[in-house]
Amino acid sequence: MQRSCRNGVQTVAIEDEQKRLVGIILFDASLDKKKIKVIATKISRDPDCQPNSLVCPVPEQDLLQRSRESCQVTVEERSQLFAFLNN
Amino acid sequence: MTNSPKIICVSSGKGGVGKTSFSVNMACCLARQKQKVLLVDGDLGLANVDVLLGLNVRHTLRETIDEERPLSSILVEIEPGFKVLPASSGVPEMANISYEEQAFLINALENIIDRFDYVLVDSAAGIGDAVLWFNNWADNNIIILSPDPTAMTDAYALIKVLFHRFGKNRFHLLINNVKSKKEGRQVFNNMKNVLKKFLQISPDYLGAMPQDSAVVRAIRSQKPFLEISPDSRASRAVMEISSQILLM
Repeated sequence: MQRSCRNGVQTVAIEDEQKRLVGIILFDASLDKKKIKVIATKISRDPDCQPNSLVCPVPEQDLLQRSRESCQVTVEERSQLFAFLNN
Repeated sequence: MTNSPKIICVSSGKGGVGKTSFSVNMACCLARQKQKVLLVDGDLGLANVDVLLGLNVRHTLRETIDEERPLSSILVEIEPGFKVLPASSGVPEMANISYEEQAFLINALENIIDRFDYVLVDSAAGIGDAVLWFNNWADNNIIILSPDPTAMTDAYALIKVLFHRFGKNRFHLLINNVKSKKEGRQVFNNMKNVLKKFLQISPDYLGAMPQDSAVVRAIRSQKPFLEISPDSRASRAVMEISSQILLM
């Protein structure tokens, strides 16, 4: 894989049908939008993933927001984790 | 024929739980059982693997990312069959590398790992990007926790993030610093019940590492406890756990 210049490089994360992060796309923002250079890289070793099939290009910000919402440990989960320590 | 090594990421969420000590000694243990092992220091900006092994490294993963230095040129051989890929110390930029650099590093790793049977990644603490994508890259995920609320919470949080964000649902739990095997089982069973209830995840029990002064002595000596205290409780536990890893 060739590394592109850091400046002016926009990254977009891509997901498979199961909403798993399977790759990234790097856009060279210095080029005309009609001539975008795309480098897709597989970062998952799951053999079922198809990294070059752009099923759902998801903006990185949306991915981060989604993961923030669903990953926070809840009060109920915490209380269950600690419950046995006091038994 | 290209070898496909087993890639195992060792994480914890909380720092100071024993990831590096376990990773170093497990790598040593597997190598002594005729496995070819690569230990990757996944704490890219605050390296510890080299510290626990008493190494003075000249080149680190930083040079691979910044100067495209081949990974093969920075490998350090510890003993036959056991090599280390060292990270850098005191480099905050390495703790927050970009997607582009992550992909570059993973590609570089993919080009050298076929010469190994096992690749162990000693990840950083926390749930930063590097922790997550090393875990995503791995085939097997070991989560280490100790019997205290902060370690348990952070381990649970890490699993939850890996589950929701990357669809990981198979985890091997190792309980460190336990007073007894019974305590290890209790902590595991509790974590298992919570994971099943809230995430429908059923983790595997990898085992428990006992409290052992040999571990502290070894860390201060900058040598694996497997080397300086081969008959210690910790060494026996690592050997027992290695038989499970060989079945992964």
